[in-house]
Amino acid sequence: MNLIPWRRRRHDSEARKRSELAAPLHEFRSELDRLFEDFFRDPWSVTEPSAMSRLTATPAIDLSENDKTITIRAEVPGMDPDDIDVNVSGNILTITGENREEKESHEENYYHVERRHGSFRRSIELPESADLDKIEAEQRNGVLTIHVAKQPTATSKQISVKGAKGEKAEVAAGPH
Amino acid sequence: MSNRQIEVNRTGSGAPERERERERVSGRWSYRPRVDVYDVNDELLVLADVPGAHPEKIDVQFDDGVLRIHAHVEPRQPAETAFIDHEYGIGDFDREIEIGDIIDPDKVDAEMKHGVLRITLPKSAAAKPRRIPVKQKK
Repeated sequence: MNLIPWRRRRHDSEARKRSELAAPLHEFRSELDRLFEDFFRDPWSVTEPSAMSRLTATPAIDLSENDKTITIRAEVPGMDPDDIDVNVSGNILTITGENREEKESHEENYYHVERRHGSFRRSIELPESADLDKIEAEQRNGVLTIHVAKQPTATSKQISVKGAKGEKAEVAAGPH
Repeated sequence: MSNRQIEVNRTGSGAPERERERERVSGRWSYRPRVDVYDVNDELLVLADVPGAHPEKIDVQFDDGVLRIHAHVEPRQPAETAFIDHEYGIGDFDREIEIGDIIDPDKVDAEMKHGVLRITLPKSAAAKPRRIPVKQKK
């Protein structure tokens, strides 16, 4: 990584912006392809503020559960907890947020930009067992953790399978 | 058939971010944090995403023109956790950024906020922008 040559790339970001408006999906695809190419050619290569960083991001999550709780974790570095919203509508839990830091003051003087700037959104459909009144969210060191309690009645229970009478008779008659 | 109870919406306006770039370093996975580098008047500003790293477990070094960031990340879940969905890996972050000799190594400063490491590197006196007065010829 050398600081100086990065500056040359700045001029074509305007053209990129225009084509992004015209064909956002196509732009997104080719942006992805470009990032892949760049990465495999040279993992330390230079990137500019890309179309991807301006689209609404979909943060990666991990999801785990035990008998009592469903836990959702997302990495949201740089987000002020006040700028993150966790909403439940029906059984859909949605995380939204907007990253406001540093945006205005430094955009014109960048050497290198990889981090996400802008908004993100992610929806997760909760199972019936979720107790929608018992959802807690906290953010610590850039990691958002959401705990959703499970309703006590929803713990797994054994369901016996009854066969119809006729079937039973047939099975019993089988070996003879 | 999967035994999933939770459906995860993968549409939205973009696919979830792919697995972060990582490499094997002495028997563990090391992740490459996303960084921004800005030129702000008298200093360079480096921002690095290190979500999950505790501020006390971060090591920042500047040596021979190279800025090295290492951030240790503790596991977030007990080892026996049953994951329904596990879209990103968790591990330490490592990155090296070649800065050169334009900054003053004694004045490098770092702080953490909301999982972002913010490193300020004041420029050396020789590299600071200077205004050149234009003299009028009499």
